[in-house]
Amino acid sequence: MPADATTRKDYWRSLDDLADTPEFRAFSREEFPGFANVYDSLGEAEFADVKDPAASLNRRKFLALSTAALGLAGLAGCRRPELPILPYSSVPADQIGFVVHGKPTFYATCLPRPGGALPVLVESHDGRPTKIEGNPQHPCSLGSTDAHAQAAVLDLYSPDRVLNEKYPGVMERGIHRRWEDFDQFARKEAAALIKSEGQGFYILAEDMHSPALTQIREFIAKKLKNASWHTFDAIDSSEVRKGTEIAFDKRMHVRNRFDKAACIVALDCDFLGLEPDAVSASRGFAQGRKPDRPLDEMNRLYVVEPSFTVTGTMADHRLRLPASQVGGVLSALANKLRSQRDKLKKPDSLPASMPASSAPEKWVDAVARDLAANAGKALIAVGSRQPAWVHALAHSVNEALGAIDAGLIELRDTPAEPQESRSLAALAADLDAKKVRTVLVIGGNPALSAPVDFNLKDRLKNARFATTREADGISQPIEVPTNTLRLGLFFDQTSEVCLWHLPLAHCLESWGDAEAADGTLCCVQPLIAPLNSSGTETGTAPQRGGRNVLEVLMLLTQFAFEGDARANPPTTSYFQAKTRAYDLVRRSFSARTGLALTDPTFENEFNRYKQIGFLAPDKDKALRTAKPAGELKFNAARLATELAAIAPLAAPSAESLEVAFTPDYSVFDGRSAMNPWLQEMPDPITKLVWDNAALLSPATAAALAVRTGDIVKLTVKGDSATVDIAVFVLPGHADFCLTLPFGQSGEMRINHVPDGGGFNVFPFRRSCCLHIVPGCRLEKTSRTYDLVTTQEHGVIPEGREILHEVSLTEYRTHHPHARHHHGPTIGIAPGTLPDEAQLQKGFQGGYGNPQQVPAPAAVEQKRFSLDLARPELLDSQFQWGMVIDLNACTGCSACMTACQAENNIPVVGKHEIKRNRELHWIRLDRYFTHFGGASETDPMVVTQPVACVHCEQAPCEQVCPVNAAVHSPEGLNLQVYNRCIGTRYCANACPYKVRRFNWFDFNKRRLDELRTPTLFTKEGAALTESLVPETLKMQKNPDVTVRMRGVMEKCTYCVQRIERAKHGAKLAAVEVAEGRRLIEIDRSFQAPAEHESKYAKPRDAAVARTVGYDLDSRGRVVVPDGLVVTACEEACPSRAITFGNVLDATSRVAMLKAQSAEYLLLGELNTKPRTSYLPRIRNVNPELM
Amino acid sequence: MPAIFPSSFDAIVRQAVVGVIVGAGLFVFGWYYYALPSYTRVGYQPDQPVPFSHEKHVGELGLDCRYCHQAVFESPHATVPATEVCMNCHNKEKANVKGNSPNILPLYASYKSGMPMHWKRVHKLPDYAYFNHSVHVNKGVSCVSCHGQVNEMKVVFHDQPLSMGWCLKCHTDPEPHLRPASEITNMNWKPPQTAGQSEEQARRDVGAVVKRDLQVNPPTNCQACHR
Repeated sequence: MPADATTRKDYWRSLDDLADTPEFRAFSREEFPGFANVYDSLGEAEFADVKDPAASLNRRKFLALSTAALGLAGLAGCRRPELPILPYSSVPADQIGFVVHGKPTFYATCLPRPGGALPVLVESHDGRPTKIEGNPQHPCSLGSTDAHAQAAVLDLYSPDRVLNEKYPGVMERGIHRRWEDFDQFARKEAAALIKSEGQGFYILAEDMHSPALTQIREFIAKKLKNASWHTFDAIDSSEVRKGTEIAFDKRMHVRNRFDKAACIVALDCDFLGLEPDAVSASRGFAQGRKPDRPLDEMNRLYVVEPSFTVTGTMADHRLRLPASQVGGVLSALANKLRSQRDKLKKPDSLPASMPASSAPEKWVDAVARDLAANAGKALIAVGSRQPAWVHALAHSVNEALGAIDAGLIELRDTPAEPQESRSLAALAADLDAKKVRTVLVIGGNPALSAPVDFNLKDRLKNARFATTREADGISQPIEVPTNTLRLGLFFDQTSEVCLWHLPLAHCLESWGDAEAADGTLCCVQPLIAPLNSSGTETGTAPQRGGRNVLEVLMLLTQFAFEGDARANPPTTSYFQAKTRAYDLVRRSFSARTGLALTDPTFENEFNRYKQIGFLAPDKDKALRTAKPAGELKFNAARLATELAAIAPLAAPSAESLEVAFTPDYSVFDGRSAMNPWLQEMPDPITKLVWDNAALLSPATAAALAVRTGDIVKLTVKGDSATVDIAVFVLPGHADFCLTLPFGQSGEMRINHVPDGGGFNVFPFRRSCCLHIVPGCRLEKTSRTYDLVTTQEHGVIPEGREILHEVSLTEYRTHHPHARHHHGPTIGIAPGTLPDEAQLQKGFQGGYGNPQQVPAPAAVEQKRFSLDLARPELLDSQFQWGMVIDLNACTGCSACMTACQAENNIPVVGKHEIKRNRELHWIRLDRYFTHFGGASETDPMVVTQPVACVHCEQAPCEQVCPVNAAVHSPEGLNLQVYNRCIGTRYCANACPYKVRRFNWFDFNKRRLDELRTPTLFTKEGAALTESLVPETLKMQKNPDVTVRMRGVMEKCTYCVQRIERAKHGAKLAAVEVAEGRRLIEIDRSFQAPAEHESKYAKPRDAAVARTVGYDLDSRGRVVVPDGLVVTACEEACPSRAITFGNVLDATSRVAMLKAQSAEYLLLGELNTKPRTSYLPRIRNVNPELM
Repeated sequence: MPAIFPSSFDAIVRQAVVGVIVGAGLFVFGWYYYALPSYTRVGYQPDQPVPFSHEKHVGELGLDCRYCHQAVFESPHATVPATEVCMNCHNKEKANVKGNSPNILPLYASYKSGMPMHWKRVHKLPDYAYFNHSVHVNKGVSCVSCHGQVNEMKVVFHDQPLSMGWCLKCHTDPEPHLRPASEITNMNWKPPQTAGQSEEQARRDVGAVVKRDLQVNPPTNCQACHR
């Protein structure tokens, strides 16, 4: 490695890049690595190592087969296929006026998840939900989502859930059953349970707070009072609540308000990534980092963590420490703060003595001073895997800093439970004691993810119930198998060990409710009937259509509402359960608002609730808002006793390693393991796809002599727990500790996906140490594993400046980088309109290049010109552009998944990604940097999203032989799929490496049969129709072409959304002109001028936004700013992406482009990209430089 | 050196060359005539499950297009009516227009059972082309321009090629195809003609006014239709 500071790279993608190895050079040099042996394979680039049987077909045989198939296909293709049109028989009354064929409808609902539901809007095309957006009115979303919310729609359509030939829906003991069989079973079971008042009835569920479900739990507590409710989540947040119990004598939810903070210390807390409520935290955090704010208002983030997280990449100062040592930093901080009493708001809340720590003195000193200086605006956030005392101590420091009084921390009571939830350990004990007659496992996947010492898999499998049998008047003790019931979305490891598998309805298929992270009540409403639930007429088709938690629980407990038993009979049929699930939602709404069901305003209010998706806080009588700071009594004495009992863990060493568990960025706690989009989404830090790996630092790897891809065996002192896992060397990781992301199951369970699945690390997770395991040993095995990471994909050749990273002081005084490129980037200052001459010229020449005057005749003959010397004139009233603020981008990958959902981008599988053939239109380049003198072992990280930048002088357009890459007058770099013949010249020409090629028919074939000859199936029969399951086609966005093999594709700036907005503006203008809109014309519009169009100009921007159109200075209809939102922009939780019309000087994008720090990626190539970037700004603490 | 080929081979070569040229010419002509949408699409006239006559309903009875194709002014699709729309007149229990005709039976069955009618699609663009009805009809393009004189069709057929070249003909020169908003669904609209003015010119004059009033600037770039 080059150690010399003058020769080393400023930023690098991987250790290979840093060392500049020949392998890295070879891989990054070629656009399509491994393409050399094209003639030996099937016409695709293959590495020599591929031993695919299909690849052994020689070219001659391949051509022969293809020609024969083409001949056959040609004959069949002569006939015009007859297509049916199926209109309604009669339009349902509630759709009239709301649902129009061909136009999307949006419904408000929420996605329940641990830590608070995410309120969303779901786009539905003709009854098919296709895309999830955030609910712009709810503070927990503000219109944004994360990658998991974006991908939730794919779970709905997952063939493994509703179409899998391997598992046929409702199942009992491996035999497929029908829901009626379960109903019968439930009736019998419920009768017995009621008789014994629930004796032997156990429920194991995720921790989900739903008021509707609580009503059933109340019923259980009353009628089945011996029943036992257990909660378990693989992601355990009990330490947070224990922390509040120590500090305030009460278990409470903690929510941090990063938008109010000026100085943030994140202690092992990935609040921008994996902690709950990350969407609103990201927004709040990014709000505090807008560089146009006054100097002292930009927040500063200190992060202490073992492994890189997305929060760590945003840090201004990052300290890498093993997870067990993080608490020590906090006690050192508290110690230091005590010596600055005068600056603190409530210094007495700091405990007198603190556990010893070995935190670096200088760092702690500087941070403590910064915290004290910002008292009242400073916040310490602690991650949920830290032990309770760290949380409690953080509360005391926050209290001392005045953060709780200033509302930076919101504490809420945990919801009251009708019956105490018991732990998993209690369930395991009762299973052993054979007390369990029936157990219902709802959601999660506890057989996989429960701590290994509970061995829930075997316990559930061999569960027996000790009872007595009455025979001939004598009761005889016998043992019968426990009725293990599994209600789950997929047939998973838990389903395998349970007697019954019951398909759970997706949340887009069911009624329900949930609480968001801020305590507001959100409704869950169905957009579609449970998929595949019909087909019952035949009587033989397996039933895969799901039922929701409420329905199944009501059937199992014979739920009845309170009151007259005759009016409210016990639930014994599915029909009853279905209607009552909806009734429960109504009743919980009624309870929260105080409106009686019979109240005349109830229906109106309830409809409003369904319409906006949540209950407005002012109408919520039982709103569980943050407790006022005055009500909280800080218990310093209890904290002192707790702290006295702490024995800090020793720092790890090569002999005694430390392991810390974390959820996986892609599959979370395993709930998304069946989701191909998330599996294929590169991890924001490691860029691994389809797998997980043990992360460790380069120094640790060197000391233990392991390399990326080596499989190692981890053992722990004094226990038999062990795991084999591949390692990934991650610069910036703390030394002598390992991070194990959990969630992957070690096998790929998605049907027809050949590789991936990662390593199951749950066998190493014990109940004693759920988060941090000291005293581990690592043994290298002789095996290796093929980890695929995209960190070296799309390398922009060295020697070019692509990343701007500046300190805040530099940014304020110099803007050195802004001037580095082409001066003023756009010729229009904010607030002024472009002059007439400029408009006449059109936008040709683009940014900062006014001397280039188009040919005089170009205006008239602009359109059909194939003349490269006279490119398309940019004369439209729309000139689209985008700005990406690197200072806000956390790298969370929500944009990537949103783009995939919006633009029908297929997954390609691990095998293809290894060959640089991913199809994601957005690439998130993660760079390690040496900012502020950061070393190679402890670098900083910047993530840069790169999609097609829509060059005004695009190299790709000049090389396309068939004019498939063309420019539109609106400045879009278009890819015309029906012209494209797949030469791939454009991809070779693109300096940004953002063009993606469809190497296979991903939309026609499943991943395990991509390499079969054209027009043939795997079995050799003629391929007549798509092999992709029908349900996956239902997810496709009907406004975007589904691409076929051999076609180049890339970011389109969401042209379908642009066109939709333009059509909307045009229609709005016509409607207003013809008086078809109920709008006060006189007051809101200016009368149209003589001899111009009939269109009236809205009086101001607010009217324009409401009616959906505006007129520009030349009277042309334009779309008001903010009405064209690309999918990535809409999803981005930190609002790093801004899109709009750069010609409109008042648009957000034009104002950002006017900032002098804005820079063009590879601007020196004079490609004039429409996407530009704002630099990453580090608000460094001068004391630490 | 002995001749490899007999002398008669010269003639064969000559004939072959002519044959190839003629063959290629025929192929090109054949392709141009038979493989383009103007041949493959125009005239396509599938049998519908109910012999619904536009001639009767529109031509004779004067139903407006929007009575059935309701969403055409607001949606990309013109939309095919629900069975209940037919039942406004043909319901045996209500107006009972021709209520006992055997042709009505499938409609009746659909209305009673709630199952949709299986109409056959006549006009179909390729999947990569996106056409929006609402923008066209709102901006002065009549139904007639693309669908022909539907009011004279007993059974609807494909009247125009709907090929890209055909679309662009109007997109580059829209005036002759534009008419006032009130006349969009008028199948028999004629432009007001002054003495000695050709109908073509009269159409252009009306179209020019509409073009100015409604800012009709049809796009001709790929982005407008291909996404």
